[in-house]
Amino acid sequence: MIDRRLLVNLDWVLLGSTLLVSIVGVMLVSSASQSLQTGFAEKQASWCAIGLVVMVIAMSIDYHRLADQAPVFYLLVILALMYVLFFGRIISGARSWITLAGFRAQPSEVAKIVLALMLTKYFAEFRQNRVSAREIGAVALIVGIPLLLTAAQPDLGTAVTFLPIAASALILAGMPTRWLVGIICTFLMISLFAWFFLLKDYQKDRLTSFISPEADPKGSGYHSIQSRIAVGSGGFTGKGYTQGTQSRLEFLPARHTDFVFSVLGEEEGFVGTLAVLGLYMLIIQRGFSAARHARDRAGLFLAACLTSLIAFHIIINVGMVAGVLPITGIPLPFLSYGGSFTAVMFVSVGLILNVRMRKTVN
Amino acid sequence: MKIYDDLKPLESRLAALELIIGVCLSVLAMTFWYLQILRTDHYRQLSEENRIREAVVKAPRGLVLDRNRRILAENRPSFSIIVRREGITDLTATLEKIRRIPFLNIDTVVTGLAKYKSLPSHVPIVIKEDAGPDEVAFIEARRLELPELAVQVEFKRYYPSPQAVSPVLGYVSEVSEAQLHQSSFKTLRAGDLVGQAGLERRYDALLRGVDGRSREVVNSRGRKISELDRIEPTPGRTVMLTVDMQITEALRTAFQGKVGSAVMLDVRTGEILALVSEPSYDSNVLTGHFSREEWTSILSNPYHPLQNRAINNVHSPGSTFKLTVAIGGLEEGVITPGTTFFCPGSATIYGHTFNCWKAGGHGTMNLHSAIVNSCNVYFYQVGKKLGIERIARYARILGFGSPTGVDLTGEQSGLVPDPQWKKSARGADWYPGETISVAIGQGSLLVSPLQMAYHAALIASSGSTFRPHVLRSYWDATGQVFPNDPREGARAVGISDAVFEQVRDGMWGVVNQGGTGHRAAVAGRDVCGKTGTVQVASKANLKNPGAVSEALKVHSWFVGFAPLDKPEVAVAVFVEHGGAGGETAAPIAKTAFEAYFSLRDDRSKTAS
Repeated sequence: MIDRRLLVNLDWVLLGSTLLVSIVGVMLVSSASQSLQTGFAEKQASWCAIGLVVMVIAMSIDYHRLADQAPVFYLLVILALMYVLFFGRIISGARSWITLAGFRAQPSEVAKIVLALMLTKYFAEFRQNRVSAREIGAVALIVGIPLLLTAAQPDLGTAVTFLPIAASALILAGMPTRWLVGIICTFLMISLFAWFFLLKDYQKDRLTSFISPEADPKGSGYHSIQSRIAVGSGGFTGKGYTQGTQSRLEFLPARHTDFVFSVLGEEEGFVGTLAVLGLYMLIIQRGFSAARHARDRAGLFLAACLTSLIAFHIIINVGMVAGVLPITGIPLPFLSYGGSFTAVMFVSVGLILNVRMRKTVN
Repeated sequence: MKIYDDLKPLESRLAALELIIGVCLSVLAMTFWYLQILRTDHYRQLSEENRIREAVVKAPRGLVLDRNRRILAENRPSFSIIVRREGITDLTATLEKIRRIPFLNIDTVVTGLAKYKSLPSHVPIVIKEDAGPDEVAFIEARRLELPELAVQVEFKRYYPSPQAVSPVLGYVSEVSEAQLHQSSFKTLRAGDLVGQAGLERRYDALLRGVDGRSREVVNSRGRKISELDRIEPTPGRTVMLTVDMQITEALRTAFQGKVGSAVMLDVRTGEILALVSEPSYDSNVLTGHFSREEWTSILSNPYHPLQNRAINNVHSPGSTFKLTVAIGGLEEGVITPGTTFFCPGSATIYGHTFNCWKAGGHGTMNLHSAIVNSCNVYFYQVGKKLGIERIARYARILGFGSPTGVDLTGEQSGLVPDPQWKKSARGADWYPGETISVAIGQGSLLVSPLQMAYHAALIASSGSTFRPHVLRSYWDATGQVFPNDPREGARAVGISDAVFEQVRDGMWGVVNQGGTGHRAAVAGRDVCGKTGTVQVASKANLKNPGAVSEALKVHSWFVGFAPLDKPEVAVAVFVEHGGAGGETAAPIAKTAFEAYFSLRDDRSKTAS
């Protein structure tokens, strides 16, 4: 299936750092789930294995063929999103799950890949230096539909992660400054509107509490404070693997999912956080490198959009753990427990590897 | 093969994108440097505070025993339902859950939460004491739904015979807001229990012990995971009283619902063998964190059972004061035992006519017959010769006008009037007729029943008795016994034995020669005593002369000791509105003497 010649260009650094972070992830999930029922680490490990399989599939098929099929994937994802909106399983308040052949999956996670492919397809043949209202409108439509469907589940966190895909595509395609300003203004106005008319109280609490978590330490600021205590008390070398008291004694919320990085900070200290951040930087750098060396516009867009997607997750999640960004429920790539999300992140790396493998033809 | 696309302009945009992301990640790395390197001590401390909870291990309060080692106060395990405030995330939801529990009172919970706001949130608040097995099971079965509630075993003060011991022991309840500001309670926190009256209060420091401490590792829901270390509490000391419960109970029975008090002292040591104040109250009702419903009935009782009538209340001594005048007269030489006065039923002194209680008069009286018959006219004359200054001086020497120094709370001084007192307190000059009234125990004189018993003990021991006290000894867990030394506080009397002997003879006559106190006589025990009858002439009674009510009846006193040779015990009995002293108070004193002697004989038999 894979041309032997392509393996010459396989980015072992990207693959290696991804695997390394994933192994750290399984270990952290294992440590963090001590007080929960067992099996979390094993499940996460098996999801990584599944992720590796789909990653190999994603890198095997020429990304041009995948991009060509993007409209079909897009349609399927929209249908799936509409389906879960009415018939999906409700888990933690959001109707976002679909059951397929015994597997539960979140279409909103799959939508991230499909959007990247769809925008790649859209901009592959775009030859102008600057986008115009037409392109912006088209991107808004392509991203807007799944975004609204996901937000309606309601899963605002996942919906927000669609934005960096759109943003990076538009920036690459050449965003005029006045449009940038205009979009930021529109975004602010929509935010204000959402604040007053759309957001539920718990969502507002989560967004505001990071500004002054001490104001209500038992209430909405609690998670932010406990995360900072976990990270800060880790010090330089950490309390030792599985020895984090904040985690073990359940002061940390969602410690095997959204706050898994807090467990890392508490148990492995600054050494651990810096090491993992370093690996993330490596992954991102290799992602942009793949984009830079892409053979064509499509490859560049695909690799850059997916790298931005991964980077966005990392920044928002780690920022939340450090207490400098609001709690949004955005998971951390390769570290957070979660099946669909892990698989989607592996597919993203697979597609970046795909682009890298098929760089300039000799 | 596709024509190569010029991707050059895109490369700078790619670089910009990479830069933005790189900057964000660098800022985050710096944030972690700040949190984990610069602020690590701060957060490490916070994480320790999170996981380690200091719990107080309550010291068991010391036992209280009577002189025969009968338990008067002990500690009984009791189940309390507590609220862990750190477990409350949504107060309204918690209150709503509590409201649905039938046996919990929501008001107690709300006031409790307000009252103990100052306490650290890990200190549990008791919302129900003495929970029954069903209630404990109810809470335990709902640990998951009600994680903020828990059951805790506490040791609660328990008095096996509360009514008999409450005047001496008092009770234990929560330290009050005002007490917390006092230096002697500075180690206490809101919600701690302290002695609030009597011995529990006086010897609170002995009984309280020192609380221990344990450091526990807890999880985020406040549940204990393990114990880090522990400092064991030092239990309170065991306190043995001088009180004999059997005599106390005999005395209480003798009161038969009458209102008043009685004290029995050991003449040789000053030990209080019995102290009774009727009506009494159930100290178990008042003990604990909450006042039970019976509290109000105790408070609203018109006879104020919370007062220890033997030391908190003072009354006119009536004719019992004639003993003081007799001693003063003899010691000062204004009379001799043979001095006689004629009693025609009244005497006119300083232009006023003073009556004797016997309308026809007693005829010619010497000291002995004047004491036996309690002749007013005789003592008017002695009092006139002595003068108020000397009467007051002897009254003070013989136990009146100042606290005896008993180791209980709220002792009253009473009052020994003299011209100086009248000038300062009333702003008026002393007039001579007052001296005559004071000579027979009327006027402004005020004494407490305990002072009266002490007075009797002083007469019985020729002034060599010791300060009245209830603490006999105490010991700690190591078994080292600390006896109470009664000699401290003994006062020098400086009156000759012969004088006391004359008065003791008179008192023997009161009981054994057909005198006013004959109802106190115990065959073969040579009981000596003096009765007193105090007119109750309040303004309310004078305004309403038609109502011959209970309140109009006179108060009665009996003060005495036994036996005449080598006296052992002294007694004072006061019955409010009891009628003549010889009729009501004397028989109660008799019961006390009988109880004392029969117990003493029984014990010496078993000993030998």
